[in-house]
Amino acid sequence: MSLPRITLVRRTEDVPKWLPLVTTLGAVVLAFVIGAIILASIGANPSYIYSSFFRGAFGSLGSFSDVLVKASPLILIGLGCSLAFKMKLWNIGAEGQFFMGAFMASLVPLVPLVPLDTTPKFFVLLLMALLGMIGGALYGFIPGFLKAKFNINEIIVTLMLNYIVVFWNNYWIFGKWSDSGFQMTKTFPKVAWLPRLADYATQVKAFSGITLHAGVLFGLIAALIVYIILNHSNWGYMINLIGDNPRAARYAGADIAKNTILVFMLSGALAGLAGMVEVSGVVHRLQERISTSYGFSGVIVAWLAKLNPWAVIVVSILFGALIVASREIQPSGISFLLQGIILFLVISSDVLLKYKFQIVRPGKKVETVNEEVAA
Amino acid sequence: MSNTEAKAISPNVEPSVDLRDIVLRFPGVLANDHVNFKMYPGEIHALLGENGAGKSSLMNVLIGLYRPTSGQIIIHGKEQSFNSPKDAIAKGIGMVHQHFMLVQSQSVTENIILGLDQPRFFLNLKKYDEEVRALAESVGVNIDPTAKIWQLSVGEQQRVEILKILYRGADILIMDEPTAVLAPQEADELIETLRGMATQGKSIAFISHKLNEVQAVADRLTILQRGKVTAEGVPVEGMSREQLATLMVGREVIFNQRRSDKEPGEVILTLENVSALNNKNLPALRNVNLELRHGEILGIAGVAGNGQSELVECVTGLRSCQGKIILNGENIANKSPRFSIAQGLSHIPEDRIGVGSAPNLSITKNVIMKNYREKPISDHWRLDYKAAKHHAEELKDAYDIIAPDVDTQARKLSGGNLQKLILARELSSVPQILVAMQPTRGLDVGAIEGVQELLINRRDEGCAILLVSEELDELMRLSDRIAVMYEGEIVGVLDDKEADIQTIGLMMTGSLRLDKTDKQHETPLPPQTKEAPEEKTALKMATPIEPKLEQEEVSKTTVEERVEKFFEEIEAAEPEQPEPSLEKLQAPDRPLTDEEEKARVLRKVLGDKYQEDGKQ
Repeated sequence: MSLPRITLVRRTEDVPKWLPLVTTLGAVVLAFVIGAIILASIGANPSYIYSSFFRGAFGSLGSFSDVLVKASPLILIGLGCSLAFKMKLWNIGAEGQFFMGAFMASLVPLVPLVPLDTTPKFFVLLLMALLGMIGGALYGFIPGFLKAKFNINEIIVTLMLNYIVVFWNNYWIFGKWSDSGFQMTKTFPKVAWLPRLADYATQVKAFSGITLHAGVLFGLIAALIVYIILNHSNWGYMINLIGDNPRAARYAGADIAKNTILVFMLSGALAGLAGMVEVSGVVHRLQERISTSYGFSGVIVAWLAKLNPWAVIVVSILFGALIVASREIQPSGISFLLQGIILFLVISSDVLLKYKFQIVRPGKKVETVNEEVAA
Repeated sequence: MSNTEAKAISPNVEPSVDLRDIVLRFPGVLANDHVNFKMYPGEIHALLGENGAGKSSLMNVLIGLYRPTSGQIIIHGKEQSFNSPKDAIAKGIGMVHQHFMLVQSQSVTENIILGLDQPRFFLNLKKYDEEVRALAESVGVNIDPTAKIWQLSVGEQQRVEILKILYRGADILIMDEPTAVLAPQEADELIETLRGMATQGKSIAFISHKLNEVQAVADRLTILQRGKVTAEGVPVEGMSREQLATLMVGREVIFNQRRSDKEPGEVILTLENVSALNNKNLPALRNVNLELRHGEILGIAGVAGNGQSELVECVTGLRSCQGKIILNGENIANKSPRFSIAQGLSHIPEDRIGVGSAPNLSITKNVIMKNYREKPISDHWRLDYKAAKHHAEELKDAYDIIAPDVDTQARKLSGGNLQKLILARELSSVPQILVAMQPTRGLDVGAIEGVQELLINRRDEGCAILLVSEELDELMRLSDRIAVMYEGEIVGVLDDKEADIQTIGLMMTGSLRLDKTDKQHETPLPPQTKEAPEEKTALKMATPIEPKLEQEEVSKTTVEERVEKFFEEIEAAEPEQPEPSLEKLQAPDRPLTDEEEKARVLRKVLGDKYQEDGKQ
């Protein structure tokens, strides 16, 4: 008892506004430090690895464009999850909604739903985006409806629906649209491709080989819309209210069943749009592997961003960078290791928002500060 | 009664608890300011004070949850320093909290021995069942040790908590507002149990802010006001309620408020044959007929759980029902809450935290809960938080909600301030009709007065108020008419002139029905065939009462006459085996006189309330 002790004391005052940002950034930095210790302990050179990481992600316009390409679906999915999580609807089914969106969007060039050689590109893409959103929304409707009408746990339903859609897609990919027996469809005609910077290489030389596509704009516009919904609309207020206390919301006149279904559908629509962005902007065909579990990463993105739409963009870019950088390094699992440590630390850092450290020195009479015990 | 036989505390008896000069400081708050508190073996000592006066803090010092900033804790003559509740229980001190800490799926015995060093490995549950049974009998508690907690009523669960402490060898018990969660009947039983334990030499500290209860149960009392003692160990006998209230709040509390001198206006709300099920799908409301007029307060009296919650939920659209509920000519039965809100119906819910507020949202977001779709807060789809904040600040000032600012989370407000927030929200919309359920429960005397004043002001402005309360005093003070509920039925509606506490008490317990509702039933009620549970029926020997009097008779006879008639019926009925609990009140050999019979019945029905009226 002779050494100074450090104790955790519950905060009685409000948390300063800057603190959540500082603790989150601190957690990310600490994650890299811990990662460095692990790398050093297995005999690698952390500074070399981190610098190649950094170069791999932000070293050139080309690599940064790759980061943004990876971030685009994450932004959309992260936003969708944030919206659902605000209402305490645990939508773990973004992966499935993503695939359903990709499938529905692919109908346009593959069936084809419109004559592809005469319809302007803008309308083809608009139709694809709409169908992608409708696909995700319908796939979000199922758990939303089951939750609203029968109070069936949405976590289980969304999780299981993820597997169903994979097999649904495989049926079409292998059975109907297979490109000479491979597990992928034939490439979409160019009219169904999202415009990329590389398309303008003849005008701007620097764009040559840059794969960044218009999907990232979808993400930015969606972030703005979700931000306005959550922070400046009646509906967003209601989502907040239902999320905090559904019984109070019902008492105040909210229709919880209707809003459960609506929020689930919008959440699914954003994931579905991400699916459209991936098939139309990156792979240009429907195939079994279009997602490197974007749907699940999106859940993590939403949490790390603390359900803030703008933070979703930042976190998505960080995750995109980790995905791109993992190409630079063997084994690529190191970037997943870092993802894991970041997630763990950021979530743990919430403790600092609820408690603060206090140093108790021996000998010095300390005024007793009692923790207010919740009765 | 026994509380009047206040124990003569001779100076040479050693106090079981002696708290000296306790100072307890929280950041920014002085919860206890040099408090002295002494308890002797065999006494029930009430600790009285407003919300936030420091009662709970002081008791938490005694059970080792808080360490005092300075001061001495002396237990049975020895100074102690507790680091945790475990240290305190080792010295025989235990506390029954308002919120029980029991495992629902386990039996009474399992809960009682949970966390003890014995048994070490093998559990011979039967042996412990017997121990628990013996312990329960020794303190006069009737409970089955093998029953699972979820099968027990709230009152029984509380007894398990008491047994838990006694089993650990406690002789100093602290009861934190024990009756707040109990129905009046259960409260009476608890008080009896506590008295029994006191006669066995235990010391019981009884935290409360219900004056009548303290007068009924306690031998002596200590009053705290803003962390300081204003009355230390004063015998309860000889203190008037007004004196106690003054010591608690530091000013005279007006106990008799004015009734409306205006005639009530048009009918605004009509209930026609409303029936509904409760959450367990059992009938909770049976053919309820009521009328509510502008400018009147209609009180709903009844023992908790006789359909009052369901009635309120049906009217506010939170529960589906059969029958018609007509508000301003529109049937609102089975419509959404939003529909009735739009019709100008405000609702002060029973459960402030669970229903009335969103705890993690700000004051601003809580006060706009019902009008966030209206201008100027909302413009079509857009919500203007600046306007909302302005609105919240106005309400914060007008209703005197004490908080640093309107961005404060609702969960950080005290009970009284949270209720003010709800009142601000519900009353600021100038409702046509207000449904208020237990609007003053758990509030301190000062806050109660404020709430009641607000209700009366609204009534005088023409608002129709349906007031549901378990506090008979409150109903009597505020209501223009009182409807009494028993087992889901309205067993009578009384005008303020004919309502007296005895009649209502009889009706609440199902011993009397006056089938004079506002409207005559279109379909006659089935005669009351169901025998009420024994504890609830004061008069076991009473023959089933004729459910209906002739219509002309109803209009002619006054209530008093009917009560009189009722007692005649009782007299005429041959008494069966008297209940054991009645035995001691009954003179054994000779037949009872009218007066004695009446007194006996009323004492049983009303408990301590009877005494105070007897005194008058």
